This record gives sequence, C-alpha cells and structure tokens, in this order.
Amino acid sequence: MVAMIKDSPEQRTFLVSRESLRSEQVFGDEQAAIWDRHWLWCAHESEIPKRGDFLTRTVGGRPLLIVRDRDDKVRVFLNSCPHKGTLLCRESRGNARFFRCFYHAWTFSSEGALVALPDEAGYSECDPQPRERFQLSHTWATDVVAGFVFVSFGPPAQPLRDWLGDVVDYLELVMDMGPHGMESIDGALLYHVRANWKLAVENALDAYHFAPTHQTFIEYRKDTGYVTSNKPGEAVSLGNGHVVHISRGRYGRAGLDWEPSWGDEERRRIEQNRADLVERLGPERAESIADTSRILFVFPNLLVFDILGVALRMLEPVGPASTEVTSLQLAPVGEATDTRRLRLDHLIGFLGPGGFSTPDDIEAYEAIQQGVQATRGDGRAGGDWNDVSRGYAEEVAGKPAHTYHETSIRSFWRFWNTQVQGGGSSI
Amino acid sequence: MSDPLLLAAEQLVLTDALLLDEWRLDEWLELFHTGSRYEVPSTTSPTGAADQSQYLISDDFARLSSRVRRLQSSNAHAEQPRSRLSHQVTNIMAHRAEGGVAVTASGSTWRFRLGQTDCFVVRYRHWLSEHNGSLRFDLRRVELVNERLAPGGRLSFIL
Repeated sequence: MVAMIKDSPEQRTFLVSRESLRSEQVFGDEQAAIWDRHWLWCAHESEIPKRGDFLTRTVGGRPLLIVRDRDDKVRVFLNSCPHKGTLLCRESRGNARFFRCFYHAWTFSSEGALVALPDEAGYSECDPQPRERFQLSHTWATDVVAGFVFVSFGPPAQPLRDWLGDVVDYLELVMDMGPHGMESIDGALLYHVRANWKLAVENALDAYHFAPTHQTFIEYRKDTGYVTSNKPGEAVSLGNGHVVHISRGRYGRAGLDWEPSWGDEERRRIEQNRADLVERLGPERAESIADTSRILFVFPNLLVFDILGVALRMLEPVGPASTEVTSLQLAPVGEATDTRRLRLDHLIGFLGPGGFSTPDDIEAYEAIQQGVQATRGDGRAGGDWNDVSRGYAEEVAGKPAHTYHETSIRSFWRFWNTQVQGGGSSI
Repeated sequence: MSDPLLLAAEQLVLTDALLLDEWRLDEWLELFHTGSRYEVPSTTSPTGAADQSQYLISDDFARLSSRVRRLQSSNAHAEQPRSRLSHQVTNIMAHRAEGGVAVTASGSTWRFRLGQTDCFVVRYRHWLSEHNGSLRFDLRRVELVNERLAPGGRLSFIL
C-alpha cells in the first residue's frame, strides 16, 4: 500500500500525501475502515425532546431514523423498510407513534415492531410469519454520552465510553453549562462544501490560519467595539484521533463571559450565572466552563465549538471532494430571552455559512481541493505532499502543544493512517 | 399597479437586484436606514424567529454595514475574485401595509465562480417604508427554497 504519511521525527517533518484528499480508492478505504466500523455521532438527544419525536439524517452514508420511543428511550434505526428496502420515513423531523411505509403500507411502531400490514393472509404459509420475521433494523450499536447519540455500523471494537476516553469529560462540560440541561436551538444549518472532510477537520484544529484568513473578521470585531484576543491555547490529543483545543483568549461567551456591548443588564445576568455555576459545580469546574473556550474534535465526524456560543458540526463525507455539513447550536434550557437573542446574534457573526469567518474557511478547503489537482503524480521530493510540521521540535522535546502548532493535527493524521492503512508508515 | 408607492416598491426591488449584480455595494447600502435588517433564515426552519432560531444571516444595520465593508476588502477571500451574480426577481406583489409597503417576490440568484455554478432559489418577504423622502428597506428578508445550501455552501455574497 502506498504510504499516506511521512512522519520523520529526526527531520522534524510530517508530510501527508495529497492522494488522501483526492483519491476515490482512499475514500473507499475510509468507508470500510472508519465509517462502517467506528462509533459515529448521529444526533443530540435534545433534538428529539418529546416521546414520539423523530428526525432523519444520513450518517456514514446511511439514512437513519432517530426516534424517542414511548419509553423515552432514543432508538436509531436504519431508515429502510425491511420489506423492500424503501426509505421508510421521508420527513426530516416530526412526532409520530407509527412509521408507515407508503409503498405497501407496512407499519412499524416507534420501538421498531411490525404492527400492521395489509392483507396479511397472503403470507399464510410463511414460517415465520411477517410480524415475527420483520422489524426495523437498529444500528449495530447505539449509545449516548452527555446527550450525544453515537452509532456504529459494525460491532464496535470497544464500548463507547472507552472509545471516547477523556472526550466524555469535555462533552459533559458542555452539558454542565445549563442548570436545567441544554437544548438544541431550532433550525439546523445544512450546507455542502466541495472539499474532503479531513480538510474541515484540519481547519478547525489550525489556529495558524486565523490571522491571515480571518483578517476581515478581526476588523469586524474592532468595528463593533469587541476586543479579540487570540493568544495561543493548549492543544491536547485525547487518543483515538480525538483532540481538544483549550483557549483562554477572550471574545465574549454567551451567558458566561461578558462583553461591553452587551450592556449592564446582561453583565448582571452573567455575574449571576457565574455565581450559580460556582455554587452548583464548584469554582474549578465553573472556571473551566465559563473562562475557557474549547474546540473539540471527536473522531471522525463531530466538531464541538464551545466558543462564543456552543455549535455542533457534523461532517458527512459524500465523495473525496464532497462533504455535507450539519450545524446545530446548544443553549441552556430556560435561558433568559435577551441572553438567547445575544447568543444567536453573537455566534452567527463568526460561524456559519453566512458568518464573517466560515465562508473564508470554506474557501480555504475548497481552494486546497482544487489546488492539489495540480501536483497529481508529481514524484519529485515534496511535490505531492502537504506539510504538517509546525511545532514538531516542541513535540519531540515533549513540550506542551499549543494551538498554533500542528501537533494535534498530526495526531489526527496518525490515527487516521493507522485505521486506513492498518498500521503506521513511518519512513 | 398604478399606486405610485407600489410602483416605487417594485422599482426598489429591481434596483436592489441590479446593484447587487454589479457589486455597487455602497449604493446598495443606501437602500437601507439605520433601523433596517437583512435576514436569511435557515432552510430547516424558514419561519422561525431570528431571536429564537438559528439563522444563516441576521444583520442589523451595523452588521450589514460591516458586511459591505468586509466585501470591499481584498481580504474577503471567499469573494476574491468576486462571484459573478445574477439576481433574477419575478412574481412581485406589493401592497400597502401599516406604515409602509409589504413586498413578496420570487427569485433565483445565480452565482458563477472558479468554474462552479450555484443557484439559490428564494422567496423575498420585504418590508419597506419611506425614510428621508425615499422608499427603503425596513426588512430585507430572503427565504431559501433550496433544502440546503448545496452544492455551494456559503453565503459570502449578498443573497
């Protein structure tokens, strides 16, 4: 197998083959080695808060039906009628007691049982009978941590909590923000990028690009009287390809870290929120929630931006140069109306397809996707390789990684490589 | 349509399209006043309120001015080079409403850039009123008919 990374600690260089971004074969290998095998994030429980609530979503290339059943349990079914394979539920979301396939009217309960089918007598000699033989297929495994619902499409190599490791605590940190829990805000943002999914991961973990790429965002912040401090944060590789970036830079955190333009009333609310946090969780936990911003990547498809507000981004690869993105927001249940308004207003200025920042990020990954066509087959040294060497000397010296380094990006690629290539390919 | 106010409303909607197509953004900004808003709700909750639902764009006049300033910077990378745009407006209906004019229209905005073509099909729901002797947007609201932003996934230009 052709090497996809050249990891050279002696030279302090780390290179990634551009084939990893272009190749249909690599994309197919990823499908088998990652998307058909690993735990994938598919929803947040708060998207379906009431019994009978459901949503449909394609994850890992498979249409899913995600349901809160009559016993308040979240179930994830393959959205495919077991009879003929028809897409069972064609609504994006709703509330239902039963799911009826339009084609032959086979009807399933929210627990997945076949409860009705027309002219059942036509199966009189069949053994077993349809009601015994057919039910909606669940994913191979479903588990929930801090409201984040994960599934796998094969027997998982390890239980979800083992797979996530220290990620669990960072997910709980998000959920601990709300005294009455967290809810998803209405209106998921759905958009497509003409780029490989791994470029979206790299971009989220790359603080080095911030100043050159987001100059206009920084200028916008100055326009509005905000102070954007963008000092390096801490980059922690959490194993299994997971990464968290922890920053203490200040740029306003909705409900938690006040900005002057929000006014005195909001300042008082935030002081109260912080006092409540300390009382509820202790000073250390309260400080982690309120005073640090975090970008968490959960391999392979979840990015949590706990920054100006809390945004969850799901990456869904469609092809080597094609990725669908779903973007949700979480917020404390019962938050003050004015805080909610400020939260929405604050985050949208930065993140999202119409923000002042995300469009330029998308431009970066789409420009890479186009640019790497140029070096296809270039066998000259370095000709067809992307460089990911920043901060390698510090990594070798065992110093703490910061977000302007690429240590966490290297850890992502190393894990990816072990999955796709079934082992390291150090040279 | 013989009501001069409604004719002026139709003219404003067409001027809006022309100025955006020609990237005459400073002139375009003059179609607004300091109390104006520019909104693009999500495709998944197009009727949700801006202070309760996620929006793609929810600009007050200050942010809209910043957006125009950004788009005139050579550092607005997503629009360097600029998209070639065609805002096509049809099915315009205008009627007098309290204090101004309500306009609904259909539209498609075509975007061509770096070899890619994107088409955004929209429903306009604007509110207009007179400010300093001319009709301007109180609310310029653009609801996407597309199920999602695809294949082009960013609103780096003015929709």
